[in-house]
Parts: sequence; structure tokens; C-alpha cells
Amino acid sequence: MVYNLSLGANVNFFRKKSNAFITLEAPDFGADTHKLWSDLLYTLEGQEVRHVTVRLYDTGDLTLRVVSVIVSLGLKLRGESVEFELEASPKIIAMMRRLNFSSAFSRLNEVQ
Amino acid sequence: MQIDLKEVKESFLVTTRELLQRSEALLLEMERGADAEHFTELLRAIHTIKGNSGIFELDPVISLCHHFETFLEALKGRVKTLTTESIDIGLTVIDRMRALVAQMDHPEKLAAIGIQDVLDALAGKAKQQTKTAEPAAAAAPTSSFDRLRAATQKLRLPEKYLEIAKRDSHNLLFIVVDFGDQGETMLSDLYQKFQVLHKAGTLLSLGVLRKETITNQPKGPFLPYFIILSTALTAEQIGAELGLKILLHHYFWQPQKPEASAAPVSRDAAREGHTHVRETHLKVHLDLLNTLIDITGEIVLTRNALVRKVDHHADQGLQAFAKKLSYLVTDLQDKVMKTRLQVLDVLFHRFPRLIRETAQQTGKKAELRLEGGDIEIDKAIIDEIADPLMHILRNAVDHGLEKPEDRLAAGKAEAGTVLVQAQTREGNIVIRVVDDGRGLDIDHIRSIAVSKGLITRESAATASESEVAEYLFLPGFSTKGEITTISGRGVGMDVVRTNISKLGGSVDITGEAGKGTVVTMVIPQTLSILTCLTVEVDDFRFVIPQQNIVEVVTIDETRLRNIQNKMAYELRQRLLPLV
Repeated sequence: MVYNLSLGANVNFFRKKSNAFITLEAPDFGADTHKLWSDLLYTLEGQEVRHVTVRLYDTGDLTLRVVSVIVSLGLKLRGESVEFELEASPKIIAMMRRLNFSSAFSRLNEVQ
Repeated sequence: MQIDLKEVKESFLVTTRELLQRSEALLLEMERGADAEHFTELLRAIHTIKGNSGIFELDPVISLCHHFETFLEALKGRVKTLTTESIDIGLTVIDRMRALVAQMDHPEKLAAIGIQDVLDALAGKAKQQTKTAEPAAAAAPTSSFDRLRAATQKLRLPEKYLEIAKRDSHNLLFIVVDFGDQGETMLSDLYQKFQVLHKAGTLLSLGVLRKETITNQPKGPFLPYFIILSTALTAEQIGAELGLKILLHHYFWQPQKPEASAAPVSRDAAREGHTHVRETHLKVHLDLLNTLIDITGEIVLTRNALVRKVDHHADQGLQAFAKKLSYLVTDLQDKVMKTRLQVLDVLFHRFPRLIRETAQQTGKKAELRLEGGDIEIDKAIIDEIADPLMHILRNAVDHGLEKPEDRLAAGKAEAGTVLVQAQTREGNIVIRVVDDGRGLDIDHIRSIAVSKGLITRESAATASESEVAEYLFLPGFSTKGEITTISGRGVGMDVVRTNISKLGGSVDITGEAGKGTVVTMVIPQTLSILTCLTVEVDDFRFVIPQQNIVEVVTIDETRLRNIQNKMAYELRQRLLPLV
């Protein structure tokens, strides 16, 4: 079963079995942090998810609010033994590592 | 190197007294308006007391400081003024710490001073205020914030962090920010700022406080992010440097302030071109100062004797040396006497709290203005005038100022003003306490004085207004119908006048109905030097203090009178007995 829904202009996701793929697009991932957080939680409702991948496209930067949402989601999922991957530009991945956010993710993948 | 514990203890007592005094003043200021600097300075003072108390294992003081810090941290950045209740709790904390420190050498007495009531009050108020805090604090839920704060203070940082901070004489600073509450700050901006943070110190560690992260709430995650630094900057400065709103901070270690000890200049600070501030003041024991004054007095007397001898000596060179020595000794005496002088602010800083408490107890509103706190006066005099002045101030609020509703009805501001103004005049200090209250009710004073049998009805009827005002200084006089903790016992202004007179000073009171009252105290600037008139009679030499001399009169022998075998002198139609 595959879900492919758009939650707004900048947040999309699809699910395949227990894998969820979430894409966040630049420039703004949602001015309202609460909305973004609810949207992300919505993608994970229903059938059990064992693996989540968040993809950040076309962006070299993020607001700290968005970082807080992604990292929090990572910590939540990791606490539930769900694999959580981040795919983003090398610059963002480097910054996430430097700011010691690595532990929120199972894997940090650089994508061009 | 041996450590003189007695000296350390004395230093601790002096420093703690000063810090508590400053804390009290800050709290009173914060009732009118509290900004981040107030909180920072107060927290630093309390933190220093806590640290210093650790040396002497004063556990109750440490505990009070710790809970008071927690209390203040919860309010910092959330409130613009502290409530009267919060100020009251803060002042109680300070009073209790004073009592504890005063008994530090008496374990039994120390143990008898309870602190649980204060701790309960702090905990209860903190909880209440956190609940009613501004919506801005909503990002950090009450329970999580409290837990976070508690967790922060229990943290045990690696020893090497402390070593680095001590090595560089830096603050070991732990900062927590809510990552989701940083507005539109961009990740790359923060990243770049971290890159240059090394200029302000050493970045020791950073990351997410995972255990304190809250993700199970619909309104969004709470992501506390910590930064541990060894830095010369304060938490506020770091927040400004990074452009981050700081949720809470904790100094795990702070170097001594430069004025407290000669802390070495940190290598980083030196690299950045910071200059070491040379100490300008030393704490000297009062006994040593008094000894210096006594020795100087002896030198002055010896100088005087020497000069008199040399005056009759033919050797011009010897006379020149004696004159030079005389100048130097006078200069020495002048400078040594100055060491006993203290600024009146030492006394004035007690008044804001006194006025606040008296106003609270009497249901009045009072503003205090202080002028001339920089005037220097002998420490002994400050000690002597403290109680009289405080009595006058209590009277100003209790007797002088009207209730707020009465003031408004009289077209005055709701809060009365009490001005304490000090000036120097002809070698004396003049201290005026002026209030804009109801003034003196001359008829009432007159009737009270008669009813208490202090004066006769006849003399009261013919007394002028200024003479009636003098009745206030009669022993047993009180205009208060009932006895309160503040006044009404009739023990007051007469004692004030007696005490001031003992110092060679005077005190007067004037007032205008409906406009206010002025109490004027005139006191000498120093008691250590008495200017005297020397009188020689036959082989006897008498020295009369100048302040006791009313007039010097050349005797006109025709005015000498013998009255019942006692000599008297007639001066301006009055007979003065001769000694």
C-alpha cells in the first residue's frame, strides 16, 4: 500500500509498507512549527512505521525552528526504535554534525 | 603556604555582609522594575555567597542560596517587576542568611535557626509564579522547565572542564536554549557564530538534552539544547553573541571578581587586549586604623611640645626643621583621620527597606529620595546617628504621611515623598528629613503636652509655634493614641535629641500644616579631632572644646558681682556664675 499525500505546499510524504518518505522543500517548510510538527506526526499515524526518511530538497539552510522539529522527530522515533535518516545538502549535513545532532539520526546522507 | 583561617573568615563575613546588603538593595529596586541586569547581579551575588559558604560548610546558607537561585531563575526574563510578595520572600531569605552567618561560630545557635519555612515559601511562590507566567514562557511547559532546571543543577561536568575554566580564569557556563523558540534564526547563522565563539572562550560541549526533550505534545516539540563554555562573558553576553534566547543558564564555576582578589589575567583576555584592573582599595581591620589614629595623636602631641621648645631656641636651622616637621605631621594627621571617614551611603542604603516596611505596616505609600550619600563622615558618628535617623524616618511615614486616600482627597500624589538630604556646612553635616505629609498639628501637640502633664496649661497657651514643636522632644511625648510596633510609646524624639546632643550635635523640627515636616540634624563631621580653646590660669592649663563655647568675652571688672560670697559676671543684664 502506498500513500502519497501533499500536506501543504512544502511538505509531501508517501509510505510504502513500514517505510515513510517525507520531503520538505525550500524555501519555507512552514512558518508554523506546530503545524509542521503535526503534519509530520500525521504521516506516521496508522500502520506501524519502521523506517522514516526525511529529504530536504533545494536548500542550503534551515531555520532553527525547523531543525528543532526534525531533530525532535528523530529523537522521538529513535526512542521507539524506528530508523530515521536525513538526506540533505553536504552543507546542512556538516552543520548538523558540527552542532552535535547526529545522535538524532540513524544515518545522515549527503545529497546534491 | 599556610592559610590563616581567621583572616579568611573575616573576609568572608565582610564580603557576605556587603553582598547581602547589595542583594537587599537590588530586590527593592526590582519591585519598581526588574531587568535582566538586576537578575544577573542578584544571582551572581547569591551564587558567590553560596560558593563562599561552602568553604565553611554553612549548609543552611548554601541551601537557602540554592533555592533562592532557583526561585530567581524561574522569574528571570518572565517578569518586568517582582510582586510585593516575592520581594518579601526575598528579603526574608536575606534576613535569614544574615542571622545564619552571624551565628556561624556557634553551631547550636546556628542549628536553632530554621530555614524550612523560607524554603517552603520559595518553593510555593516559585510554583505559583511559574503557573501565572507570561505566555512567552509557554514553550517550556512548567513541569519540564522545573525538571530541566533541577537536572541542570545536578549535572556533574567533567573535571577537565573545570580545569580549563580555572586555568583561563573564566566562567564555566552552562546554557540551555529552546531550539524551537529562536524565531527566524537560520542554522547557517548560528553555525558561523559558533565558529567565532572561540574568541570569547572555549566551547567545551554542546548538544541536545535528550532526556528533557518533549515530543509527545500536539503543540510542537520542546528541544532543549545545551552549550557548555569556558568564557569571560556572561550568559546574557553569550546569548547576544549567538543571537539566541537563553532559556536558563548556570555558572558551574566563576572566578573571583578583580576587586575581591587578585585573579590572574586570563591568557585569552590578554590576547584580546584586555587590561588588568589594578586594585585601588584594601580592606584594613578597624583596630589597625584606630591604632594608627592613636599613634598619630601621640605624634601630634609630641610635635606640639617640640615646636614650643624650639620656638625659644636660637638655632634658625632647627626652627626651620621643626616647622617642616610640623607641616608634615599636620598632613599626616589629616590623611589618617580621613581613613575613619565613610560615605553616608553606608547608612542610607538601609533606608529603602525601612521606608518600604513602615509604609506596608501603616498602609501608606511612600517614595524615598536620598541626596548627599557621597558625603564623608566619621564611622563612629555613622554608628551613633543610625538609630536616631531611622526613628525619624519611621516617624515621617507613620506620623507625617497621610493614607493614600487622604492624600488624593487633599489633591496630593497618592504616594508621599520622604527626602533625606545631607549637606556639609561649616565643618558640620546637616541632615534634613523632609516629608510632604500633613505637617505639624500645633494645637494637637499643645493639648497632648498639657494632657500628659508635660507642661502647664498656661505655658502651653502662650507658647509660639516653634516652642510647641519643641514639645515633641519632651520625654514621654506621643501623639499616637495607640501603641504599635512603630510608635506610640513616647520613647522617641527625646532619645533622638539626647543621642545627637551627646555627639555635640542638635536636632530641630519644623512643619507646616498640610505641607509637611522637616527634621534637621546638625552633627560634627568627626569626633576624632576636637578643636579646643586653651586657657591658662596661673599654672593650670584648661582645654575647652570649641563646640561647647558659646562666646568669648573680655572681662570688664566693673561688671563682676559678689552675690552671697559667690562671684558672678553681669553680661547683657544676665548674671553668669563664675567658676
